Amino acid sequence: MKSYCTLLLLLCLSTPTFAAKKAVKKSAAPTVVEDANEIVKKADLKRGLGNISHSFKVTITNQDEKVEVYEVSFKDVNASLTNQTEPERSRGRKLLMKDYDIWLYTPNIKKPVRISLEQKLTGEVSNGDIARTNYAEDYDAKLVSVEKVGKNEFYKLELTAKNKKVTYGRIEYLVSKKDYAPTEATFFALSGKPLKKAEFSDFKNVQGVSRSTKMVISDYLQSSKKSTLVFSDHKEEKFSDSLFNKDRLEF
Amino acid sequence: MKKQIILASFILAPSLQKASADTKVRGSITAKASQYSEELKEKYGQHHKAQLGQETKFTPSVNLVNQLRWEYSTLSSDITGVPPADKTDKEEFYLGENFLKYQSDSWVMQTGYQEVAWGEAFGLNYADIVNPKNMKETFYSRYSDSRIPIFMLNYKYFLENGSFQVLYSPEPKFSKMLPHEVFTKQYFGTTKITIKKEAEPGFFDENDVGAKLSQSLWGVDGSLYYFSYLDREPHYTLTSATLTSIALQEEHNRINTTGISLAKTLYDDFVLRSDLVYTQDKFINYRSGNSLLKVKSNLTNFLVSLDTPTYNKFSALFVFAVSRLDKAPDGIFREQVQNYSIAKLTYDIGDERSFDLSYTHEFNKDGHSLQGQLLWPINSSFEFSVGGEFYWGRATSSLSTFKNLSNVFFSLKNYFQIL
Repeated sequence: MKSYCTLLLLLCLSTPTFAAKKAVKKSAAPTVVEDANEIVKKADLKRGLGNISHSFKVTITNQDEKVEVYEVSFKDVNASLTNQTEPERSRGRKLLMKDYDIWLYTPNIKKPVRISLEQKLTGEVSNGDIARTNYAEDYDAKLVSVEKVGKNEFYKLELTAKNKKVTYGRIEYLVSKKDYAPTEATFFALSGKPLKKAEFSDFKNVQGVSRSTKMVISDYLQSSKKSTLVFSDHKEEKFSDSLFNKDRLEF
Repeated sequence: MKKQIILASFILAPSLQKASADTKVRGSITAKASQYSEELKEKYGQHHKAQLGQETKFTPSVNLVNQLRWEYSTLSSDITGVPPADKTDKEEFYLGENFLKYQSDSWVMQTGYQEVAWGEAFGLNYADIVNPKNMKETFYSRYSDSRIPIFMLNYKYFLENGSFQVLYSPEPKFSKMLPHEVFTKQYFGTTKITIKKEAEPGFFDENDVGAKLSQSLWGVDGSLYYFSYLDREPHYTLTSATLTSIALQEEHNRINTTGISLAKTLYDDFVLRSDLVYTQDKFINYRSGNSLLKVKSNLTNFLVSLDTPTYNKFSALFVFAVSRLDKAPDGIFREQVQNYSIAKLTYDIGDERSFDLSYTHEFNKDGHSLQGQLLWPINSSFEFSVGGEFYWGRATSSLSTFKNLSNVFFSLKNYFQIL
């Protein structure tokens, strides 16, 4: 009886996922086998504005319903500044990323402190999950297979870190063949150990393109431990170079 | 008068900027209760703090920051046995950071009472020389809580991968020291000691100046700095003595500090930090027979630390530090060479909760300290922590000097925003 209930619950939970996949709008499907790195580039543009200067907001809800809000100034793939605005006790924390260097500023310490990319930002979210999200820049992609789920086809890609400085050693990435929408990713450490999984959803029209505005990151072994990232307020914006100077963090 | 002007700006700023500008009023209240664990077992310490801050953005380039702080501490009477009626440090209401900021793309200028933090390393803040400190803040105090803001013109020009900073303070201040009994008991036993404090200099009576050049190149953060300032810590001159009592005059002389700090990420996930700080002409007291004398000495402080990445929710910090005086006559009130090592282990419980344990070893005189703390954010505005800090070792070690400050504590902090 217990296993029957579990099965029923699983079926109920999985229904919206398939329904969402069915709801994806049609677009020109690729007719030839594409370069894996090109697929990843196109999928990156379905998760953000790509490598153009812009700002956005990220609201992170952890499994205990605690909410954290960050405002991100993204100059290009090599320079971004994340400013925490909620909760009140964490307000004023800033995270600056330049190339593969990352600094944290807290009002308590009052000076920028060099930290590592793997350091957790909150819950299941690493610094790199917000500050360095263009996979095409950091990973070499290989097309493993094309998988069919229902009527939809998905590229199954394996992304390998171009160097040891990136957030993850390897990513298994599932991208819709129809419109390059990223569906899910599994992240591995450099040692090969699986770390966490991410699901991309809530595709909305952002700056004229349908993009994912929600990412749910869960621990690989304990799926109940999860963080939900909602991306909003994307705006094209020009920033002064000095905004991304670590010595400006204290001002 | 200055305080009144600043208080007035605190009150008037929101009305000056009318409805168009952005004003935020926020603050925090901390209540900390502790119980001492050594000779003062029957004593219960209290240390409560509150801060109310206001930030007004007149234009994108111009900001005004005002802070009022309140502190209630029983430490002095706890340690010295001063009757409650004679307590001098029971309650204090003072100004925190109060400054006007103007910023452009290439430079920033802040004028007013502010904090400036230099150096890269943690554990022993040898390079944190600009602001005087409140020595009542112990190991688990926030760094900012221990700094006393001073009036400064703080100009920073941004270079491509760094900056050049110039500081000028026309009103140096002194650190708030621990009750002298903490230090003098081992040298003077039961002799009654009276200390006449030196008055802090008035505006433009003394001038502190300094500069820092900072650059990040090839994955290395480097900074070179110089500061000429009135020593934040006192030395003493004997003014009178009897068989049972002595009277001392507190003094602060001008010293010059030069330093270099570096931070580098190693093997992608380790972070190496180092501070080398050299101070010229620092007066240190020593006892010769029945006389209290002082010697001018140069002090070299060096610290290197390594942060490890998180492995199975554990991360660690290792520190090695050396502090060396070039002159140290017999009877000097500190060791000529002090060597310390610190190991700190942090366990990430999850949901921003953490437990950390830190052990410090003083090599030369076999001193020890152990600190542990459980940090437990309750919700978006409340933070709870419980822990303890213990100091012990040979009687002559600098860490055992703080033996009677060993305590277990409980603390609750609330952050709030009014507007």
